[in-house]
Amino acid sequence: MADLTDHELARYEWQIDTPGFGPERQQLLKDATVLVSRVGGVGSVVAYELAAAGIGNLILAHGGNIKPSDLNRQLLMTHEALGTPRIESIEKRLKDLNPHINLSCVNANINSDNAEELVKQADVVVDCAPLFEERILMNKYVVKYNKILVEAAMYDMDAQVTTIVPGKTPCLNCLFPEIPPAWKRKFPVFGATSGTIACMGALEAIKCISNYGDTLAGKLLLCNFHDMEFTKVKIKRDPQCPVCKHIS
Amino acid sequence: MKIHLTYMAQIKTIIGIGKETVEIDDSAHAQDLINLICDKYGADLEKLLLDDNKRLRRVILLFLGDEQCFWDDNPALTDQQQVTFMSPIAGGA
Ligand SMILES: [Zn+2]
Repeated sequence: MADLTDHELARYEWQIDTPGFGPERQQLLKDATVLVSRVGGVGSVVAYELAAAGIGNLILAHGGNIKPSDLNRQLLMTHEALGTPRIESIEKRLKDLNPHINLSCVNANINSDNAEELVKQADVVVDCAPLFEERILMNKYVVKYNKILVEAAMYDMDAQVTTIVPGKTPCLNCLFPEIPPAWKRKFPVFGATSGTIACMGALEAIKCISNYGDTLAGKLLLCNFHDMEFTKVKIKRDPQCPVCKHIS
Repeated sequence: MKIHLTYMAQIKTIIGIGKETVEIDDSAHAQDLINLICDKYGADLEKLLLDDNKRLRRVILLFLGDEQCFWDDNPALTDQQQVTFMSPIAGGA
């Protein structure tokens, strides 16, 4: 992997100066590959923060074209690009911000045809999908290939984030062993809510990659943004979990 | 005894409030508490929380204080305990 250039040292100077971080950890960010899917209300902000922080390689998966109703929260989409593929807008906005990182853009959501290949390429996956089917698929391959999965999710004014380390923490299937029957694709959301939990998820990814600080591995941060209440709870592995019970 | 309840996500949407304190028998376990709130809030909540065998769905997260609890463990409750019920969330795009 290439060393940090003088430009990169200058570009990331203000975060390299964070006590205990330094250029060695910045190099780890440059060498890392992170998969973000989808790249909508949560994923747009995750991807933007990771690009800003200098994650060297981002894989971004999101299908479909931009609709007016995306624009209150999907911050990598623009008014001008309405009707065009979301992934083109995602790529352009991230390149405008940081042309020094590698982007691999996939014009599709996570599905059974692409999940394994995409997860395999990443060191860390940040799960920002609106459907449990997509989340459970990413979790399956995260466990299979021993990757790290940052789970960021929200609904209405509530949100949660945790970090899944296969064999050490519960996996997503431990928490949700079946597709929740009552979950609906459409839910109420302010962009500031999805964006806040996205920033927390991005920070988890940065910390996991750079071995910096304590993460939410084995803990679930519950956020109630309506009343600004935050609770950190311990979560348990399911000894019967068909996805992760065989690893320790 | 008194139990301090917190509801999150779709559970909160159905119940209409995020917190309440309920009075329950001193010998109550987690399952008694779930039965109590299902009786109190009716069929929509029961459908979200319980499966056809009237067991708590495994996808509903239950926390006693800051510890996750599985339904099968059915722990005893203690006076003034904080209990959180959260339905699964996946937003998302
Ligand atoms: Zn598991």
